[in-house]
Amino acid sequence: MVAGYSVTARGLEEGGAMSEAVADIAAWVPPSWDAVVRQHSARVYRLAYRLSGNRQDAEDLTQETFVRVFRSLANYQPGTFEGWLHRITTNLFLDLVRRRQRIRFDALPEDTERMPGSAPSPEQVYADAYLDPQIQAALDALPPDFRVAVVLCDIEGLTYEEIAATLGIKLGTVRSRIHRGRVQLRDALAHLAPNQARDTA
Amino acid sequence: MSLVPTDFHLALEAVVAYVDGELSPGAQARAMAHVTVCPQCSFDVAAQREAKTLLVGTGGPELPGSLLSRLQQIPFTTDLQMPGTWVMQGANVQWSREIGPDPSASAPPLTQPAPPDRRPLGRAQAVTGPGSRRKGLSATRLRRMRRGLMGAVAGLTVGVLAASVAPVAVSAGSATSQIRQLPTEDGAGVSAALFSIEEAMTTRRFSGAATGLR
Repeated sequence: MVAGYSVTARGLEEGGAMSEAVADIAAWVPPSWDAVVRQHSARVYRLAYRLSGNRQDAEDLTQETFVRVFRSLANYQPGTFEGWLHRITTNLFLDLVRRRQRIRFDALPEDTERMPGSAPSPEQVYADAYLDPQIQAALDALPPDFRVAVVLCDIEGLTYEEIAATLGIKLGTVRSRIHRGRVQLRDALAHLAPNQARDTA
Repeated sequence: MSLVPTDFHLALEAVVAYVDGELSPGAQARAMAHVTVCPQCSFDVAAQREAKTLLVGTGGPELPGSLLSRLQQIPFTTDLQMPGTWVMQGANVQWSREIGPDPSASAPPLTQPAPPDRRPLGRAQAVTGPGSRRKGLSATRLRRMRRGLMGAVAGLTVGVLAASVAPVAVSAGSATSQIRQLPTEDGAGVSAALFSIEEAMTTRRFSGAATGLR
Protein backbone atom coordinates (compact mmCIF):
# COMPACT_ATOMS: atom_id res chain seq x y z
CA MET A 1 0.00 0.00 0.00
CA VAL A 2 2.68 2.43 0.99
CA ALA A 3 5.77 2.40 -1.13
CA GLY A 4 8.06 2.75 1.83
CA TYR A 5 6.94 -0.56 3.16
CA SER A 6 6.87 -2.57 -0.01
CA VAL A 7 9.07 -5.58 -0.06
CA THR A 8 11.79 -5.73 -2.65
CA ALA A 9 12.05 -8.90 -4.64
CA ARG A 10 15.52 -10.33 -4.70
CA GLY A 11 17.43 -12.87 -6.66
CA LEU A 12 18.39 -16.02 -4.90
CA GLU A 13 21.04 -18.65 -5.16
CA GLU A 14 18.62 -21.28 -4.02
CA GLY A 15 15.14 -21.61 -5.43
CA GLY A 16 11.82 -22.35 -3.85
CA ALA A 17 8.89 -20.19 -2.94
CA MET A 18 9.58 -20.49 0.74
CA SER A 19 13.11 -19.23 0.63
CA GLU A 20 12.04 -16.50 -1.75
CA ALA A 21 9.49 -15.33 0.75
CA VAL A 22 12.08 -15.47 3.47
CA ALA A 23 14.50 -13.49 1.34
CA ASP A 24 11.80 -10.93 0.64
CA ILE A 25 11.38 -10.39 4.31
CA ALA A 26 15.12 -10.22 4.73
CA ALA A 27 15.29 -7.59 2.01
CA TRP A 28 12.79 -5.44 3.79
CA VAL A 29 14.55 -2.44 5.18
CA PRO A 30 13.13 -1.47 8.52
CA PRO A 31 12.10 2.17 8.66
CA SER A 32 13.47 4.38 11.34
CA TRP A 33 11.15 5.14 14.21
CA ASP A 34 11.10 8.75 13.14
CA ALA A 35 9.94 7.73 9.66
CA VAL A 36 7.19 5.57 11.12
CA VAL A 37 5.96 8.43 13.25
CA ARG A 38 6.17 11.05 10.53
CA GLN A 39 4.46 8.91 7.94
CA HIS A 40 1.56 7.64 9.99
CA SER A 41 0.91 9.88 12.98
CA ALA A 42 -1.36 12.39 11.26
CA ARG A 43 -3.60 9.69 9.90
CA VAL A 44 -3.76 7.77 13.17
CA TYR A 45 -4.59 10.98 15.00
CA ARG A 46 -7.33 11.85 12.54
CA LEU A 47 -8.88 8.41 12.90
CA ALA A 48 -8.62 8.59 16.68
CA TYR A 49 -10.21 12.02 16.63
CA ARG A 50 -13.11 10.97 14.44
CA LEU A 51 -13.75 7.94 16.60
CA SER A 52 -13.46 9.58 19.99
CA GLY A 53 -14.84 12.97 19.02
CA ASN A 54 -12.44 14.91 21.19
CA ARG A 55 -8.86 15.95 21.15
CA GLN A 56 -7.93 14.62 24.56
CA ASP A 57 -8.96 11.05 23.84
CA ALA A 58 -7.54 11.30 20.33
CA GLU A 59 -4.12 12.19 21.73
CA ASP A 60 -4.26 9.39 24.28
CA LEU A 61 -5.34 6.88 21.65
CA THR A 62 -2.65 7.99 19.23
CA GLN A 63 0.04 7.82 21.88
CA GLU A 64 -1.06 4.39 23.01
CA THR A 65 -1.28 3.14 19.43
CA PHE A 66 2.33 4.08 18.76
CA VAL A 67 3.49 2.65 22.06
CA ARG A 68 1.93 -0.67 21.00
CA VAL A 69 3.56 -0.37 17.61
CA PHE A 70 6.92 0.27 19.22
CA ARG A 71 6.59 -2.68 21.53
CA SER A 72 5.63 -5.13 18.82
CA LEU A 73 7.50 -3.91 15.76
CA ALA A 74 9.43 -7.16 15.80
CA ASN A 75 6.26 -9.02 14.90
CA TYR A 76 5.32 -6.65 12.11
CA GLN A 77 4.72 -8.28 8.75
CA PRO A 78 5.76 -6.06 5.87
CA GLY A 79 2.88 -4.83 3.75
CA THR A 80 0.19 -4.54 6.37
CA PHE A 81 1.41 -1.55 8.29
CA GLU A 82 -1.59 0.70 7.76
CA GLY A 83 -4.03 -2.10 8.39
CA TRP A 84 -2.13 -2.86 11.54
CA LEU A 85 -2.39 0.75 12.69
CA HIS A 86 -6.11 0.85 11.94
CA ARG A 87 -6.60 -2.32 13.91
CA ILE A 88 -4.71 -1.11 16.95
CA THR A 89 -6.39 2.29 16.96
CA THR A 90 -9.93 0.99 16.58
CA ASN A 91 -9.42 -1.75 19.15
CA LEU A 92 -8.02 0.72 21.65
CA PHE A 93 -10.98 2.98 21.01
CA LEU A 94 -13.49 0.19 21.54
CA ASP A 95 -11.64 -0.84 24.72
CA LEU A 96 -11.84 2.73 25.94
CA VAL A 97 -15.57 2.87 25.26
CA ARG A 98 -16.17 -0.40 27.10
CA ARG A 99 -14.08 0.73 30.04
CA ARG A 100 -16.06 3.95 30.29
CA GLN A 101 -19.32 2.07 30.08
CA ARG A 102 -18.22 -0.12 32.96
CA ILE A 103 -17.21 2.90 35.01
CA ARG A 104 -20.56 4.52 34.33
CA PHE A 105 -22.28 1.31 35.25
CA ASP A 106 -20.46 1.31 38.55
CA ALA A 107 -21.81 4.81 39.11
CA LEU A 108 -18.41 6.35 39.49
CA PRO A 109 -17.81 9.91 38.47
CA GLU A 110 -17.21 9.95 34.77
CA ASP A 111 -14.02 11.95 34.92
CA THR A 112 -12.20 10.07 37.65
CA GLU A 113 -9.23 9.28 35.51
CA ARG A 114 -9.05 12.57 33.74
CA MET A 115 -6.63 15.20 34.75
CA PRO A 116 -7.77 18.77 34.68
CA GLY A 117 -5.75 20.07 31.82
CA SER A 118 -5.20 22.69 29.27
CA ALA A 119 -7.63 21.01 26.91
CA PRO A 120 -8.85 23.49 24.35
CA SER A 121 -12.35 24.82 24.58
CA PRO A 122 -15.05 23.18 22.46
CA GLU A 123 -14.95 26.18 20.17
CA GLN A 124 -11.26 25.66 19.51
CA VAL A 125 -11.78 22.00 18.88
CA TYR A 126 -14.51 22.63 16.37
CA ALA A 127 -12.67 25.46 14.73
CA ASP A 128 -9.82 23.27 13.55
CA ALA A 129 -11.69 20.03 13.18
CA TYR A 130 -12.81 20.60 9.58
CA LEU A 131 -15.96 18.71 10.28
CA ASP A 132 -19.18 20.39 11.14
CA PRO A 133 -19.74 20.16 14.90
CA GLN A 134 -23.22 18.83 14.30
CA ILE A 135 -21.90 16.08 12.09
CA GLN A 136 -19.28 15.14 14.65
CA ALA A 137 -21.99 15.22 17.32
CA ALA A 138 -24.17 12.94 15.22
CA LEU A 139 -21.18 10.67 14.70
CA ASP A 140 -20.54 10.63 18.43
CA ALA A 141 -24.16 9.65 19.03
CA LEU A 142 -23.77 6.46 16.99
CA PRO A 143 -23.18 3.19 18.80
CA PRO A 144 -19.38 2.72 18.81
CA ASP A 145 -19.52 -0.35 16.58
CA PHE A 146 -21.49 1.52 13.94
CA ARG A 147 -19.31 4.59 14.28
CA VAL A 148 -16.14 2.63 13.70
CA ALA A 149 -17.55 1.00 10.57
CA VAL A 150 -18.82 4.29 9.13
CA VAL A 151 -15.61 6.19 9.91
CA LEU A 152 -13.40 3.48 8.43
CA CYS A 153 -15.54 3.42 5.29
CA ASP A 154 -16.37 7.06 4.64
CA ILE A 155 -13.54 8.97 6.25
CA GLU A 156 -10.67 6.50 5.98
CA GLY A 157 -11.84 5.11 2.65
CA LEU A 158 -11.34 1.46 3.51
CA THR A 159 -13.04 -1.27 1.50
CA TYR A 160 -15.54 -3.58 3.14
CA GLU A 161 -12.96 -6.31 3.09
CA GLU A 162 -10.40 -4.14 4.85
CA ILE A 163 -12.96 -3.11 7.45
CA ALA A 164 -13.90 -6.73 8.04
CA ALA A 165 -10.24 -7.60 8.54
CA THR A 166 -9.63 -4.60 10.78
CA LEU A 167 -12.53 -5.37 13.07
CA GLY A 168 -12.50 -9.13 12.76
CA ILE A 169 -16.10 -9.28 11.61
CA LYS A 170 -17.92 -10.72 8.60
CA LEU A 171 -18.63 -8.80 5.42
CA GLY A 172 -22.36 -9.00 6.08
CA THR A 173 -21.83 -7.38 9.46
CA VAL A 174 -19.76 -4.64 7.86
CA ARG A 175 -22.54 -3.89 5.37
CA SER A 176 -25.22 -3.86 8.01
CA ARG A 177 -23.26 -1.67 10.42
CA ILE A 178 -22.44 0.88 7.75
CA HIS A 179 -26.01 0.91 6.53
CA ARG A 180 -27.54 1.34 9.96
CA GLY A 181 -24.85 3.78 11.03
CA ARG A 182 -25.54 6.03 8.05
CA VAL A 183 -29.29 5.87 8.59
CA GLN A 184 -28.87 6.88 12.22
CA LEU A 185 -26.39 9.59 11.31
CA ARG A 186 -28.84 11.08 8.85
CA ASP A 187 -31.73 10.87 11.30
CA ALA A 188 -29.69 12.53 14.02
CA LEU A 189 -28.78 15.37 11.70
CA ALA A 190 -32.38 15.76 10.59
CA HIS A 191 -33.30 16.39 14.20
CA LEU A 192 -30.66 19.06 14.48
CA ALA A 193 -30.44 21.67 11.79
CA PRO A 194 -30.34 19.80 8.51
CA ASN A 195 -29.88 22.81 6.26
CA GLN A 196 -27.03 24.18 8.25
CA ALA A 197 -25.42 20.80 8.44
CA ARG A 198 -25.56 20.39 4.71
CA ASP A 199 -24.35 23.88 3.93
CA THR A 200 -21.29 23.82 6.09
CA ALA A 201 -20.25 20.28 5.31
CA MET B 1 -34.76 -11.91 -14.92
CA SER B 2 -36.88 -8.86 -14.94
CA LEU B 3 -36.28 -6.23 -12.32
CA VAL B 4 -39.73 -4.74 -12.22
CA PRO B 5 -40.36 -2.56 -9.20
CA THR B 6 -43.05 -3.63 -6.77
CA ASP B 7 -41.95 -7.19 -7.38
CA PHE B 8 -39.09 -6.84 -4.97
CA HIS B 9 -36.72 -4.38 -3.38
CA LEU B 10 -33.04 -4.42 -2.87
CA ALA B 11 -31.91 -5.85 0.42
CA LEU B 12 -30.58 -3.13 2.68
CA GLU B 13 -27.15 -4.71 2.54
CA ALA B 14 -27.33 -4.53 -1.24
CA VAL B 15 -28.32 -0.88 -1.06
CA VAL B 16 -25.28 0.02 1.02
CA ALA B 17 -22.96 -2.10 -1.10
CA TYR B 18 -24.38 -0.48 -4.23
CA VAL B 19 -23.70 3.01 -2.85
CA ASP B 20 -20.13 2.04 -1.99
CA GLY B 21 -19.52 0.25 -5.28
CA GLU B 22 -18.91 -2.98 -3.45
CA LEU B 23 -21.15 -5.14 -5.62
CA SER B 24 -19.81 -7.25 -8.43
CA PRO B 25 -20.07 -5.47 -11.80
CA GLY B 26 -23.07 -7.53 -12.82
CA ALA B 27 -24.90 -7.00 -9.57
CA GLN B 28 -24.02 -3.33 -9.64
CA ALA B 29 -25.62 -2.95 -13.08
CA ARG B 30 -28.73 -4.85 -12.02
CA ALA B 31 -29.06 -2.78 -8.88
CA MET B 32 -28.69 0.42 -10.85
CA ALA B 33 -31.38 -0.68 -13.29
CA HIS B 34 -33.68 -1.38 -10.41
CA VAL B 35 -32.95 1.81 -8.48
CA THR B 36 -33.75 3.97 -11.47
CA VAL B 37 -37.30 2.65 -11.59
CA CYS B 38 -38.03 1.90 -7.94
CA PRO B 39 -38.87 4.94 -5.77
CA GLN B 40 -38.39 3.16 -2.49
CA CYS B 41 -34.94 1.78 -3.27
CA SER B 42 -34.04 5.06 -4.89
CA PHE B 43 -34.89 6.77 -1.61
CA ASP B 44 -32.79 4.32 0.38
CA VAL B 45 -29.84 4.84 -1.91
CA ALA B 46 -30.17 8.62 -1.71
CA ALA B 47 -30.26 8.48 2.09
CA GLN B 48 -27.08 6.41 2.21
CA ARG B 49 -25.36 8.73 -0.26
CA GLU B 50 -26.39 11.76 1.70
CA ALA B 51 -24.83 10.47 4.91
CA LYS B 52 -21.73 9.33 3.06
CA THR B 53 -21.28 12.70 1.35
CA LEU B 54 -21.21 14.45 4.69
CA LEU B 55 -18.21 12.43 5.78
CA VAL B 56 -16.19 11.71 2.67
CA GLY B 57 -13.13 13.83 2.25
CA THR B 58 -13.34 15.41 5.65
CA GLY B 59 -9.93 15.91 7.13
CA GLY B 60 -9.12 16.17 10.74
CA PRO B 61 -7.51 18.45 13.20
CA GLU B 62 -3.83 19.11 12.81
CA LEU B 63 -1.58 16.78 14.72
CA PRO B 64 -0.45 18.77 17.76
CA GLY B 65 3.27 19.40 17.77
CA SER B 66 3.55 18.33 21.38
CA LEU B 67 2.02 14.97 20.49
CA LEU B 68 4.40 14.53 17.56
CA SER B 69 7.43 14.98 19.77
CA ARG B 70 6.00 12.65 22.38
CA LEU B 71 5.56 10.01 19.68
CA GLN B 72 9.11 10.52 18.47
CA GLN B 73 10.38 10.06 22.00
CA ILE B 74 8.58 6.77 22.52
CA PRO B 75 11.72 4.63 22.15
CA PHE B 76 13.25 6.56 25.00
CA THR B 77 10.23 7.12 27.16
CA THR B 78 8.48 3.80 26.96
CA ASP B 79 8.83 1.29 29.69
CA LEU B 80 9.43 -2.03 28.03
CA GLN B 81 8.63 -3.89 31.21
CA MET B 82 12.28 -4.43 31.84
CA PRO B 83 14.99 -1.91 32.42
CA GLY B 84 17.20 -1.21 29.47
CA THR B 85 17.19 0.36 26.11
CA TRP B 86 18.60 0.09 22.65
CA VAL B 87 22.06 1.49 22.22
CA MET B 88 24.63 1.53 19.48
CA GLN B 89 27.70 -0.57 20.15
CA GLY B 90 29.89 -0.06 17.14
CA ALA B 91 27.75 -1.21 14.26
CA ASN B 92 25.34 -3.10 16.46
CA VAL B 93 22.14 -1.80 17.88
CA GLN B 94 21.70 -3.90 20.90
CA TRP B 95 19.49 -4.27 23.82
CA SER B 96 21.33 -3.07 26.83
CA ARG B 97 20.40 -3.06 30.46
CA GLU B 98 23.08 -0.55 31.12
CA ILE B 99 21.00 2.49 31.79
CA GLY B 100 22.90 4.23 34.51
CA PRO B 101 23.25 7.99 34.37
CA ASP B 102 26.75 7.74 32.96
CA PRO B 103 27.27 4.65 30.83
CA SER B 104 30.71 5.15 29.39
CA ALA B 105 30.97 4.26 25.76
CA SER B 106 33.85 1.89 26.34
CA ALA B 107 32.11 -0.16 28.99
CA PRO B 108 30.82 -3.39 27.53
CA PRO B 109 27.05 -3.45 27.73
CA LEU B 110 25.23 -6.30 29.34
CA THR B 111 23.52 -7.43 26.21
CA GLN B 112 21.27 -10.35 25.80
CA PRO B 113 22.50 -12.79 23.19
CA ALA B 114 20.06 -13.61 20.46
CA PRO B 115 18.72 -17.10 20.94
CA PRO B 116 18.02 -18.38 17.43
CA ASP B 117 15.04 -20.47 18.43
CA ARG B 118 13.26 -17.51 19.97
CA ARG B 119 13.30 -15.37 16.89
CA PRO B 120 9.84 -14.75 15.53
CA LEU B 121 8.76 -16.04 12.16
CA GLY B 122 12.11 -17.05 10.82
CA ARG B 123 12.99 -13.55 9.82
CA ALA B 124 16.23 -13.53 11.66
CA GLN B 125 17.34 -16.71 9.94
CA ALA B 126 16.84 -15.05 6.63
CA VAL B 127 18.86 -12.14 7.84
CA THR B 128 21.89 -14.34 8.19
CA GLY B 129 21.12 -16.45 5.15
CA PRO B 130 22.71 -16.24 1.73
CA GLY B 131 19.75 -14.37 0.30
CA SER B 132 20.48 -11.27 2.26
CA ARG B 133 23.97 -10.78 0.90
CA ARG B 134 24.27 -7.24 -0.21
CA LYS B 135 27.00 -4.91 -1.27
CA GLY B 136 28.17 -2.04 0.77
CA LEU B 137 28.21 -1.14 4.36
CA SER B 138 24.51 -0.93 4.90
CA ALA B 139 23.82 -4.63 4.39
CA THR B 140 26.21 -5.69 7.07
CA ARG B 141 25.11 -2.98 9.37
CA LEU B 142 21.47 -3.67 8.85
CA ARG B 143 22.04 -7.34 9.32
CA ARG B 144 23.81 -6.74 12.55
CA MET B 145 21.28 -4.21 13.71
CA ARG B 146 18.48 -6.60 12.89
CA ARG B 147 20.20 -9.44 14.61
CA GLY B 148 20.77 -7.31 17.62
CA LEU B 149 17.22 -6.09 17.70
CA MET B 150 15.62 -9.41 17.04
CA GLY B 151 17.74 -10.82 19.76
CA ALA B 152 16.81 -7.95 21.97
CA VAL B 153 13.13 -8.45 21.48
CA ALA B 154 13.33 -12.21 21.59
CA GLY B 155 15.57 -11.91 24.56
CA LEU B 156 13.00 -10.02 26.59
CA THR B 157 11.65 -13.18 28.08
CA VAL B 158 15.09 -14.54 28.62
CA GLY B 159 16.12 -11.24 30.10
CA VAL B 160 13.37 -11.37 32.65
CA LEU B 161 14.48 -14.81 33.65
CA ALA B 162 18.08 -13.74 33.78
CA ALA B 163 17.21 -10.72 35.87
CA SER B 164 15.77 -12.93 38.51
CA VAL B 165 18.92 -14.97 38.95
CA ALA B 166 21.85 -12.89 37.81
CA PRO B 167 23.67 -10.49 40.11
CA VAL B 168 23.03 -7.78 37.57
CA ALA B 169 19.46 -7.83 38.73
CA VAL B 170 20.52 -5.46 41.47
CA SER B 171 21.62 -2.77 39.08
CA ALA B 172 18.64 -3.44 36.87
CA GLY B 173 16.38 -2.98 39.82
CA SER B 174 17.98 0.26 40.81
CA ALA B 175 17.63 1.44 37.28
CA THR B 176 13.92 1.03 37.53
CA SER B 177 13.89 3.63 40.22
CA GLN B 178 15.15 6.17 37.72
CA ILE B 179 11.84 5.97 35.96
CA ARG B 180 10.05 9.16 36.66
CA GLN B 181 6.68 10.51 35.90
CA LEU B 182 6.60 12.95 33.04
CA PRO B 183 4.60 16.07 33.64
CA THR B 184 1.72 16.09 31.22
CA GLU B 185 0.83 19.58 30.30
CA ASP B 186 -2.17 18.53 28.30
CA GLY B 187 -3.58 16.40 31.05
CA ALA B 188 -3.22 13.25 29.04
CA GLY B 189 -2.12 11.43 32.12
CA VAL B 190 0.47 9.62 30.11
CA SER B 191 2.76 7.87 32.46
CA ALA B 192 6.03 7.57 30.70
CA ALA B 193 9.22 6.09 31.92
CA LEU B 194 12.11 8.30 31.10
CA PHE B 195 15.49 6.70 31.19
CA SER B 196 18.40 8.89 31.92
CA ILE B 197 20.34 7.21 29.16
CA GLU B 198 18.82 9.70 26.82
CA GLU B 199 21.05 12.45 28.12
CA ALA B 200 24.05 10.17 28.27
CA MET B 201 23.82 8.97 24.72
CA THR B 202 25.66 10.80 22.03
CA THR B 203 23.76 12.05 19.05
CA ARG B 204 25.17 9.31 16.93
CA ARG B 205 24.14 6.60 19.29
CA PHE B 206 20.77 8.17 19.70
CA SER B 207 19.98 8.26 16.00
CA GLY B 208 21.52 4.89 15.46
CA ALA B 209 19.25 3.34 17.97
CA ALA B 210 16.26 4.90 16.34
CA THR B 211 17.31 3.85 12.87
CA GLY B 212 17.54 0.22 13.68
CA LEU B 213 14.14 -0.10 15.28
CA ARG B 214 11.67 -2.35 13.70
